[in-house]
Amino acid sequence: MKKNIVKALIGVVVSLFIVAGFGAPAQAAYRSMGCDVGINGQLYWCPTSQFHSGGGMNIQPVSVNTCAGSLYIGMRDVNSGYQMTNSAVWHSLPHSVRTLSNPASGSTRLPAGSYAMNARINGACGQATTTHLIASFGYNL
Amino acid sequence: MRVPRLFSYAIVFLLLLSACGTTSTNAGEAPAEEFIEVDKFDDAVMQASVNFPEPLPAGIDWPTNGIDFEDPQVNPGQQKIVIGEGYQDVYISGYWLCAWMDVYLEAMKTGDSAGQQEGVDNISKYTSLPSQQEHLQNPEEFDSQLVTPAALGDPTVLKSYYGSSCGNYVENNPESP
Repeated sequence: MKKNIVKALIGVVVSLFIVAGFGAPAQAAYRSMGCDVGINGQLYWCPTSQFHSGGGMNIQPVSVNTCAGSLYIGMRDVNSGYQMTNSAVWHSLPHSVRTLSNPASGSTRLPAGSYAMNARINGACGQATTTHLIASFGYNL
Repeated sequence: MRVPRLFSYAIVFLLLLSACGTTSTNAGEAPAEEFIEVDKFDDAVMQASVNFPEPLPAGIDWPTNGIDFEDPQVNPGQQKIVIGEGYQDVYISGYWLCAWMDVYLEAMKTGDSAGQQEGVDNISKYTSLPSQQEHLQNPEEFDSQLVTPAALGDPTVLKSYYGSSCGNYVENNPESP
């Protein structure tokens, strides 16, 4: 009887430990970022940025009119102007999640920095230079 | 009495119709952003440095080398670039941040605790700068993951940030670490 109570207590403590997330790897976090995207092949440098403390990052466009063209998004370091990731490309719907990688090494581990979107579509939308884009990011992956 | 009731129904209907119209227009459109042509960016950066609200560390000047838009690391696809208005302020804020990170790291290397404190005091102002208030989406993460550990003597994230993000500052100040 006493042993059963002890076992039950241990079970409760272990469950609480797991629920609280102790011992588990850091969880991915998510945020969305809105910006413009260049039309007709022009690359738009967005001033809106996000701080990234390092590690993997993925991206999914959630709202954009591609004007029937392909959509290209890369991440730029705002302090140096360097493009820090390969461009993710979507040729058609659905706009699925893409993991970003370093253009030199191919690694998906990105260094700490302040990242902004470089975005373009190769479709034409009348006389407009840009159209609006909202993308969702997963990070600390 | 029937006419006024019909009239009031008509008014309510028109009000509902106009409200629906307003909602759908606003939901589908975002305000168009203004942009800067690449050949005007250096002038915009110079203006941003003149208006910058905080001083640089002693002996450091604002950048003379701007962004080389033909550098393959900057523009791998050699696309025509248009720059969102406000990026010049973000860029000059980044230069300022890198300068104070340099002060912090140099002081840490030489055991200069006063210099280290001066560095971190200035770095902690970064998220309050007008450009960052407007354009940085997660200032609380910058503060909690970079500034607070650095203030407590752990520069891991700050060093990583400086190493990957401050190349332009280092080019302008080659004697920095």
